[in-house]
Amino acid sequence: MSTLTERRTRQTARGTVTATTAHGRWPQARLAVHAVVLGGAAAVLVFWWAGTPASAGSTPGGALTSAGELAGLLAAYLVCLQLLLIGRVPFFERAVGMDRLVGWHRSLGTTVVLLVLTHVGLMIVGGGLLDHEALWPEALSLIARQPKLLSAVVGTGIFLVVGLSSARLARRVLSYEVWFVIHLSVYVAIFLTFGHQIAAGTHFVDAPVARAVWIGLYVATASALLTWRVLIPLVAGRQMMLRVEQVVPEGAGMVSVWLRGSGLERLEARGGQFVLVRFLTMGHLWTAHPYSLSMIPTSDRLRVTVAALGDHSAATARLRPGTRVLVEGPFGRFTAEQAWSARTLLVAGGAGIGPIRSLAEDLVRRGHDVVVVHRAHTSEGLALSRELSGSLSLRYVALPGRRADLGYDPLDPHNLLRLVPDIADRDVFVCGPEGLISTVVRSVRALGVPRSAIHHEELSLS
Amino acid sequence: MTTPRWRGTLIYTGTLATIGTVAFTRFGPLAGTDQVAPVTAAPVASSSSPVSPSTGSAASSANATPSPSDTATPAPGSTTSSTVTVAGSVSQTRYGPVQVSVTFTGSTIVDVRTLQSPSAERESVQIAARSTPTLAKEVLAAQSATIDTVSGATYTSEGYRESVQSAIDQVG
Repeated sequence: MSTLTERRTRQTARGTVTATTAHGRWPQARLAVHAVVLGGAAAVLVFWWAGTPASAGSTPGGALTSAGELAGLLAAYLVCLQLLLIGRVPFFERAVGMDRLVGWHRSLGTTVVLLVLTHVGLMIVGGGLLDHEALWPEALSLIARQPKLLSAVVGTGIFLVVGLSSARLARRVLSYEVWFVIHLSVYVAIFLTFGHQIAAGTHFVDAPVARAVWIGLYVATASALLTWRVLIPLVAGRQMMLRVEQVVPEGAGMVSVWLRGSGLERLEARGGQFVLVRFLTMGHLWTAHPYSLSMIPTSDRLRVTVAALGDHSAATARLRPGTRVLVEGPFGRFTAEQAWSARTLLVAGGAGIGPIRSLAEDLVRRGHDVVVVHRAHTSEGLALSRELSGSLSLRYVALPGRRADLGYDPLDPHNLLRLVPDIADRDVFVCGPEGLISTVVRSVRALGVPRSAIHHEELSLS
Repeated sequence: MTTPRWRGTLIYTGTLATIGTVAFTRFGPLAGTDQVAPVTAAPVASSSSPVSPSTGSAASSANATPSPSDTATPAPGSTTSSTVTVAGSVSQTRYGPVQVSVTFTGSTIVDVRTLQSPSAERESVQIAARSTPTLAKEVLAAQSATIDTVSGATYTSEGYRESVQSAIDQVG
C-alpha cells in the first residue's frame, strides 16, 4: 500500500499523465495474492490441528513426530504454490509480474528444501523416541513399515539435487540447459513423494474428505500447469504458425531474430516485454528462453534481439530461416504503463537495448517525451542505434567507450544531469547488466528521482 | 531487482517458529497432565475368583518379585484354578495411553481386557475399538505378548504389547 500512496502524492506534486485506475489495481491484486498464499498456509495449519489429537503430544516422541508431519504438510503445500507461481497463471502474472514470481519461486525453493529436511529429521527422531530405537535403525524400520516411503526417499533425494543445482554457487558453474534438465526432474520428485503423503500420512489414512481435498490441490495444480504451460502455448502456436524469417547480426555479438506468423496482434504485446521462445529444432527443442521484444509486434512479424551469451543464445545466430517456433507470453511489467510522468528517460546497456527500443516505441506512441541513453563499450556495440538515432520523436544519446579509457563514468550523477537537465521530473527505465542498473539507480536517486519512478526488471528465468 | 539473498531461509525460519508455536499451543496443556495419565497404577482386581491383592502395582510394591507361587501358597486348594487379574503398565502412545488387565488361571492367560485406550479423538476411539478385540484374541492364542500388529493401529498395537508384557512380567 505504501507504494500506492507514494505514487499518488507524486502524481499530485507534479503534472503527470496516464490513467490512475489501471495502476490502482496493482497493489490490490498483490494483496489478493498475499491473501491466497497466507490463507492456504493457514488452512494447512487448521487442517493439521484438526487431525492431531492433543494426546499425540503427550510424549516427546509423539510431539516431535506431529511437528514433523506439520513440516511435511507445509512443504507439500509450498511445492504446489511454487509450481503455480511459475505456471504462467494469468492471475499471478498480472498481479505480481514474472520477474518477482521467479524471485519468489526461488526463495520458496530454499524454504521447501529446508522444510523437507526438517520433516525427515523430525519423523526419524520422533519415531526413534516412540519406538525406543536409535536413529539409523528407526529410519530403516520406517522405510520398511510405512507404505510408499521408499519412493518418497528417492523423491527427496531428487528434491535435494534440484535444490543444490539451483543454489547461487552451482548456477555460476552450470549452464542454463543443464540446470533446466535437472530442474525438470522435480516433477518426478513430486510424483514420487506424493504417494507417501496419502498412503502413510496419519492425517489422510482414515479421512476420506481430507484425502480428497489434498488430492484436489495437486490435481488443480497439475491442471493449471497443463493449461497454461502446455495447452495454451500449443494452441496459440498452431494458430500463429511462427517461423524464423531471418537472423540479422546487430554487432557486438547480438543478433535479431525475425519471426513471421499470423494473428500476432492477439498477443497484445507491449514494448519492453519478453516472450519465452522455443525453436523447434535440434538443440533448442527442450529449452524455452526468455527473449525481449525489440519492437512492438505487428500482426505478422515479431522480433527479438539476443546477446550471444549462453550456449543457446550463441546457437541462435545459426538458426535457419523456416524453423518452426513456439512462443509463450508476453511477460513482464517493464512497460509504458509504469510511467507516471509525461517525460521519461530510458537507459540501456548491452543487450538491454532490445526491450528499451520497443519500450521507447510504445512511449512515443503514447505521447511521452522520451530520451534514450545508450551505453556500450565501443560504438560497434551500439546495437539498433540506427533505428533510434533517426527518430524525430525521441532524443537519442549514445555513450560508447570503456570507463577506463574515458577516465570517468558517463552514468555518474554529474554527467547524467548534464545530458538530461530535467531528469528529476522523469520516469527512469533501466535495462542492462546488473552493474549498470545499480549505477543508474544510485545516480538518479542522488539526482532526486523518487524510488517509485525508477523501473527495472531482471530478465532471468533461473 | 535481484532476489533477496536470505529470503528463502528467513521464510523457513518463520515457518519453523510457526510450527513450534502451533505445536506448543496444541500440546502445551498436556505437559501438566502428562504425569497424571497413569491413573490406574493400582492393581485392578475384577475377577470373581480368589484374588491376591498383593500382585500387581508395578510402581509401588516393595516386594518387586511377586511370583505366582507366592500368591498361591496362602490360598491352598486352588493351586491350578487360582485366578488372578493383573493390571499391566500404562503405555504411552502418540495418541494416548494404552493399558490392559490380564487374567491368569495358573499360568494360563484366560482373559485380556482393555482398561485404557486412546480416547481423545473420535478417530482414535474407532481405531482402538476395532483393534483391541483382535489384539486380545491374539494374546490368548499366543499366550504371550508376542503378537502381530493390527494394520492401521500400529501405535495402539505397540502399546498393547507393552502393557500385556508388563502384566506377564508381574506374574512371573
